[in-house]
Amino acid sequence: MTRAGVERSLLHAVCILAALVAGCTAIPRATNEIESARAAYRAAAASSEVQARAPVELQVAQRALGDAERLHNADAEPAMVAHFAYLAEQRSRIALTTAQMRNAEAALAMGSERSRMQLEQSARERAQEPPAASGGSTR
Amino acid sequence: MRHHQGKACIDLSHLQRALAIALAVGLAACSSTPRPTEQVDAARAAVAQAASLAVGDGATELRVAQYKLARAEQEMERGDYTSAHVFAEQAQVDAQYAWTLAENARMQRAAADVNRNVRLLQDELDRRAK
Repeated sequence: MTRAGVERSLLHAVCILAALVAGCTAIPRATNEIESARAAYRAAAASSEVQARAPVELQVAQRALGDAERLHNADAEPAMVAHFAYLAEQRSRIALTTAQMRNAEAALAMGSERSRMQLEQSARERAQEPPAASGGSTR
Repeated sequence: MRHHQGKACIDLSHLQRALAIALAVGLAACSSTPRPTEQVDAARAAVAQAASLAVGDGATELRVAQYKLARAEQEMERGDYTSAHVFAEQAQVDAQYAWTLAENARMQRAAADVNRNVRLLQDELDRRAK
């Protein structure tokens, strides 16, 4: 009788615990999506390249993350939180890639200028070459 | 009697359907999401812009954007403006990301080409200077 009673109360306890755990996990919150968006934004914001070359894009990403955070904190519909978190994550990636793109643009401009100067130097040197050097070979 | 009951059932299902439609229309009308024509147009423009560039890098992201744009158009026709709005916004940002990836790759290649030319020219200039 006492053993049966203990078993029964144990079973009750397990059931209550299971219900509690189920209750906790059943609340669908877009925590993963928010976390992922935060990480993407942190990566973009931490980059000095992004700060220098894509500040506007970074600001757009920051605003998008702010929207997602506000919805998340207001316990909005998880699907909507996930949507805004996704937008923030993509905006952060855009900021990072835009900075890389502008870096390459700057490298391209520098390289083009350098090559223009080289061609000028080459032309100057050719003009200064003594005529004998070019007259060495007859065509 | 039996016939009568059947008719009542049909009437009831008609009523239910009418109610369901009224509810759906009412919800669609009441929801804060109007017909997301602007968002779908913006997504379409972003996808078109990316499609002209993202053949290698960004091609995967572009395909995702194209799929979401198609879903946005479907949902808009079905009258689910909230879903259409969500799909359109995601399609737009995915397409913008695809374009950025493609343009970045293009710029990296161009910069690498120019730098290689600069090195070659410099080698030649150095050789001649000797």
